[in-house]
Amino acid sequence: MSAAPNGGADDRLTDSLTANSVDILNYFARRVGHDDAPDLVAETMMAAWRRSNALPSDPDGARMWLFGIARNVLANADRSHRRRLRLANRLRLLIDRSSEPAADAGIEIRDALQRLPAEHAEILRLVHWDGFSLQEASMLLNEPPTTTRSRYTRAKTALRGQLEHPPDPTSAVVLLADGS
Amino acid sequence: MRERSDELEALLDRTAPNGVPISRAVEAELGRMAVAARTETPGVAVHRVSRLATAGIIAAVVFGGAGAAAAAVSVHEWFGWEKNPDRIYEFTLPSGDTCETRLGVVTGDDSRMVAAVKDYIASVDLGDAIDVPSELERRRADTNNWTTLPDGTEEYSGYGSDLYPDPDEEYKGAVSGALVAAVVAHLKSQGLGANPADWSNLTYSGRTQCSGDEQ
Repeated sequence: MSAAPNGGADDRLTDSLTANSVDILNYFARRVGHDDAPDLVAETMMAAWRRSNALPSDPDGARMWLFGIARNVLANADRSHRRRLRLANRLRLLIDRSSEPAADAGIEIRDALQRLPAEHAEILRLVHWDGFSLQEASMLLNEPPTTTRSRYTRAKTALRGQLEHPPDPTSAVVLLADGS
Repeated sequence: MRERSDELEALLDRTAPNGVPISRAVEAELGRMAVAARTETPGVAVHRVSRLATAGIIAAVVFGGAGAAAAAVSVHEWFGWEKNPDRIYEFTLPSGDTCETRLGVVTGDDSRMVAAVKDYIASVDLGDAIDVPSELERRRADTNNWTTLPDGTEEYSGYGSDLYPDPDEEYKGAVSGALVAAVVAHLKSQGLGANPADWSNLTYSGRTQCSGDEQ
């Protein structure tokens, strides 16, 4: 029994998933770590097939569409109870966990990013970690390019502020001593 | 201000967390997943045994000729690497449904092992090489089968249990398992794989579609 013809859309989705899967894997790896990234890749691929009718016909559009699905998968992932999918079993075994960053490599700037509001941190990650242009980031964030550019400028200003004035780790102890 | 902005942007670029090292095996696996995700469903598939296969039933096994030539006509739809596989073969299930299996995407860290597997699956006379009845016996004798259910509990899924595959699924698994056993035996007969590291990340992919599958 063969499937009804669909104008080659299944082939285009297969090609698009294959062409973008490495970038999607690293998109997740940079945000949730190497251990959890394979399962989110698997969820993204499965979600893409469920919505295959909406696949844009051009490769760039298809790439942005897939990353849009990936962002939704990430947003909906339950961090306290990560699902382990059979589809991701082999990929999890293949990924070299020893490549995860050393404890002190870039930790200052990554900590500063963590302290930013989520929308500021995300625009900086999209541009500087994932390599998207501001135009592409605005498509992913589903907002006008001018809004994204303003957000990016504010995010850098906020990050600079965090780096120049990091929180004092002893301040909580001092307050406790004074207030108790 | 512009200079400081450039420094900050450069710093951001330099301190991205390490991405995943993309080996050929990882790339191949992502390609396989891209195809497999089309028919994958989340959760654990639980098969109920409707009737145990009677001893002595041997489904007819017809193996395609050696080489990568695609079947003149395939009734199934194939994607990605499946369109240009290393091997195609067909077999018949206990129910009478016919299956087509495509093999490919041989990967591994040892290039000699990869080449040997690729050559073997492309050229071997499967009718001689693989022993499906023995693999069926081995699977039925295995008492260490436990399945984790969606609620996290474990239930025995060996031969005779409710969770043991039905005869057709059992047979499909046995064909696949018998081929793996034949591949391993062949490599060892060639003097390959003496070092455990030789087997590192050695895999091949296969997809089977049968006439009774839902589309």
